[in-house]
This record gives sequence, structure tokens and C-alpha cells, in this order.
Amino acid sequence: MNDEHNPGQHQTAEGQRSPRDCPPFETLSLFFDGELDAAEAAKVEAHVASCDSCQAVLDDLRLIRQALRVSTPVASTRPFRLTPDDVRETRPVLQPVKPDTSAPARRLTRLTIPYVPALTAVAALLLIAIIAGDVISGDDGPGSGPTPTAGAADVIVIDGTPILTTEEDRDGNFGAAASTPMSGQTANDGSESIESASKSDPFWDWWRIGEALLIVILLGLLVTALLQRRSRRSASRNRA
Amino acid sequence: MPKLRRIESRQDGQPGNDGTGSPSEPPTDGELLARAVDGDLDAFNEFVERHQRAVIALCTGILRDASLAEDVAQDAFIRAWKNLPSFQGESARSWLLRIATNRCLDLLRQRNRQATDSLDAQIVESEPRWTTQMPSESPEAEAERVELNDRLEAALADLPDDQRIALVMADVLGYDYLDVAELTGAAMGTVKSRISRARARLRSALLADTASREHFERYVRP
Repeated sequence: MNDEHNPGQHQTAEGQRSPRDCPPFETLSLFFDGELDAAEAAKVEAHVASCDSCQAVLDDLRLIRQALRVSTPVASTRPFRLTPDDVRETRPVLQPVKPDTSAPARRLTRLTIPYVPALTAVAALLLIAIIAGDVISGDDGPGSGPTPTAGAADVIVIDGTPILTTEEDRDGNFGAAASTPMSGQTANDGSESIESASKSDPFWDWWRIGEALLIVILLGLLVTALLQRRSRRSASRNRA
Repeated sequence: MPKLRRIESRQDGQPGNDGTGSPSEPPTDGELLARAVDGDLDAFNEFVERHQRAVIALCTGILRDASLAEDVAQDAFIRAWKNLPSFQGESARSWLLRIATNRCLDLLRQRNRQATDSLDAQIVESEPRWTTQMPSESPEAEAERVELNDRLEAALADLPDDQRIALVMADVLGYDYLDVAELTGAAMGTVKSRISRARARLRSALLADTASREHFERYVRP
């Protein structure tokens, strides 16, 4: 018995293929269902009568049909009657999966399933990049933005004169010997007007705000991902 | 002539189809739906009772789960009630079966989304069901039957939804191609192709060798 029906090839009872054309599988399928017109059906019938291969295909189609019929569950026979409550009900009846008892988790699952993992990863990478940038540039916290020069130096302005300062200056020795006037200018010791260039730059204020926001968003995404995971596990348990 | 239309003509073609039937004749589908549009729930329930076997058989065949099919059928009846204003006086039975088909498709899509979202969701895909009763079969024979059933259900589950639905309508429910096209909203050529492809795939999955074929023959034709 042949296992594959090859359109265009005929298989005899001896298993030898001849160049005689067999109808395509779809034509045999249509013939099986009685969906061919009379002339075409007669042609196929005449061919099938002398073709073991096509007969085998038709036998298989019969077998599949019977298998499908005997394996289909017996349909319910309970009577259906809609009540006024049924037709007033706005909640969809179609709920094949038992609802999760955790309402917030379910809501989050529905809304954000495809995006939470990706967003969390992107936010985490951004945050790592920013923090790494801060560490490399020697920045040490809010209020003291990155320096325009390398190392732990900072720029201050005393009476309009920009001065390069070191880490020690900011730690308490501000304005002492460690301070170096820039471009050969001399610091005015009598001046009380001292301001940090980095503190006055609004860009770095926004940078800090952005960082803080990113941290909040990342935390939110992590919580969402955890709730979502818990919700999925709960739903799986309910289905089981 | 398509089977659905034949059935329809038996119900809608009776005297009184024009709304002036004698009191002794049962009302036609059109008359029942006309009363239902005016809020007559009893008339709608009579219409449901008339067609519920076809609807449930359709849902059971597509979903392969009798209990789930009941839920979807109930949902389809409620949808039909709510969509009564959109009923255009076409074939009432086809209209109802189309609603049920769409509800089954909605459920299958929902399942597919869950399955792709979580591997766990695939557990709910199907349970072994084989309705052939074999009271005297041995434990080995029963195990073999269950295994064949699992293979059949797995092969069916592997089919695309549209192919599975078309095949079930043709092979299990006995609808002709015109009915399948009408209920699924597909063109006739598409229906032919879907049924043929579904059969080819099942054939290569289940009857790939002589031993498999003999096994199936033994259990399908006991």
C-alpha cells in the first residue's frame, strides 16, 4: 500500500509507477465530498477504478472522517433557555479560564504582558549606563554635576574668575593653596561670591531628575513583572 | 442544494412564513425573531430550542470539548439576542451558526495567545476523548486506543484554526462546502483548499505507514 499520493504518478497494484496522471490530492478530496461537477466526477471515478494509489487515498479520507466522528465528544443535550438575567448580564459569559483571584495582577497581566520584560531590560540598561557614566566621570551625588575636566577637579567662579579646584578643596580647603586660577588669572581673596559652575547648569539638574525618574520607572516595571509572574502561576494552577 | 438551506426551507418555507400563518402551524424562524426583536424572550428561546442541537454540535466539533462547547453555545445565544437588531432577515439558522462559529474562533484565538504567552497554557489544550465504547477491551487495548486518540487530537491541534474548523464542518458535521463558506465567511476556493490541506496533513501525521493505518482501522471500525 502506498503511503504518499503523488499527483501525476500512477501506482499499479504491483507498486510500479507509470506515467499515467493521477488527479491531484485536492481533486480526490473534492471527489470524496461529492463537490465535483458530474463530468469531472465521472472522469475521476473512471481513473480511481483502475488506480490503487488513488483508491488508497480515498480509503484514508474515509478513515480520517470516521476517526474524527468517533473521537468527537458527545454534544451536550441539556436544554438552553435564556432568562431575563442572562440577557441583562453585561459580563461576557465566555470565560474558559478560571479568573485569577488577584485583580490587580490580572489587570497588569492583560495590559502589559508583551512589553514588561523588554521595557524592564531597557530601563535597567539605561540606568546602568548612566550610573557607570557617573562613576567614570567621578561624579559623587546630586547637586554636583559632572566636571568639565577629567579627574576629581571642579570649576568655581570667584568674582567672575573661573578657578580649577581639587577634591580636597570641596572637602573643606576651598580657596586654599590647592586652588589653581585658570588662564593665568588671579583669584580675588576678598570676594565672598563663590558659585559652582556645575550647580548653576540646568542641564545637570534635569539629568538628576531624569535619573530619579528612571529609577522609579524601573522599580515600577520590576514590581509589575513580579505581579505578572505570580498571576500567570496562579492562572496555571486554576486551569490545572 | 446545501444542507443548511434544505433545513431552512423546511422551517422557513412552511405556511405562515410571510407572517400570516394560521395559528395551528408553528411559527417560522423569521416570525420568532421578529417577536424577539420586540423583546419577546420566550419567542427567542423557542428559536434557540429549535437550533441548539446544531449550535452545540458545531461548538463541540470545533472545540473538541463538550463542557466548553456548552459555555460557548450559551454565549453565542446571548450574543444573538443582543445582536437581534442587526439581523437582516437572512437565513436565521445560518446567522445563529455564524455567531457560534465566531465565538469558537474567538476562544481559539484567546487560547493561542495564552499558549504563546505561557507554555503552561498548553496544558489546557485538550483531554483524551474517544467516544467509541468498548466494554470488553483489555487494559493494553485501552492504552493503545488512548494513545491513538492522543495522536489524533495532537494532529488536529497542529492544524491552523481555519483548516480545522473547515474540516470539522465537512467531516464531522456533514456540511457541504457552500455552508462552510457561508459560516466561515471564506470564498469557495479557500474552503476547498483548507479542507484538502487539512486532510493531507492529518493523513501524513496519522497514516504515514501501514502499521498506523491498521491501528486506526482496528479502532475506528471495531
